[in-house]
Amino acid sequence: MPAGRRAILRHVPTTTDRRRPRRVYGVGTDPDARFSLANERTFLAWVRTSIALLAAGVALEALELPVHAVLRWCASILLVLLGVLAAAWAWVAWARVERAVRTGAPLPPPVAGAVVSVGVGVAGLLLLVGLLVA
Amino acid sequence: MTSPARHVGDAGLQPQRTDLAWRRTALSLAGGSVAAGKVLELVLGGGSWALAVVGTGLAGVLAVVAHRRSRREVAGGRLVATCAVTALLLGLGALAFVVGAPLVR
Repeated sequence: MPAGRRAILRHVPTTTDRRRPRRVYGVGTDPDARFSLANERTFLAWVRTSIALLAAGVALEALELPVHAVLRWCASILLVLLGVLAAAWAWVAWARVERAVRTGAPLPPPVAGAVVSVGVGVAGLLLLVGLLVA
Repeated sequence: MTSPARHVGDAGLQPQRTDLAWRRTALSLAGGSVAAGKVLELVLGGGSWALAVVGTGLAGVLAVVAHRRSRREVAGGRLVATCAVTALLLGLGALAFVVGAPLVR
């Protein structure tokens, strides 16, 4: 063991391991805590993104805005759907990455960011057009 | 070993960073829930306030539990699940609002 570093103990799951979900904690071994914590922070960032998307969608519908009604509603629905998807994706992605890190498998490629970016762009275009034709 | 001993290493300041990230998120969830109570009332009626209370309560729990466990390394599976469910509840409320608002007006 290199001098100056604390012992690194690897835990092999036993039947007394009660951490949930088993799909995640039931495989592989505990990684360096920093990977798990980084994964959590990524999950939390997605949740905050989800909340922002929901807030934007709701605000568009709740406020009196000089935007063409149908286009505004479409943008609103799109943003809220993206928000719900982002929250669900946050959870799925956390589990996938945690499993990969535990088993030493390659991390799944990040795909959701592109979907959200495109979606927000489309919503913005809808609003732009809606502002112009109002 | 009778209890699952978490990997012991030098996580540096990561636990503190993660704790703060949990608090930021809990604050967003709480703020969103309170706003939902007011804004979604048009469509959800009394349900919007139930959502507000539940959301804010869960957000508080997340902040407290996350802070306590930043002092020792504990798996985040249940925290993650609770947080995801809270966010999804807000999402469903928002969806119901956006779909129903044009009909109610």
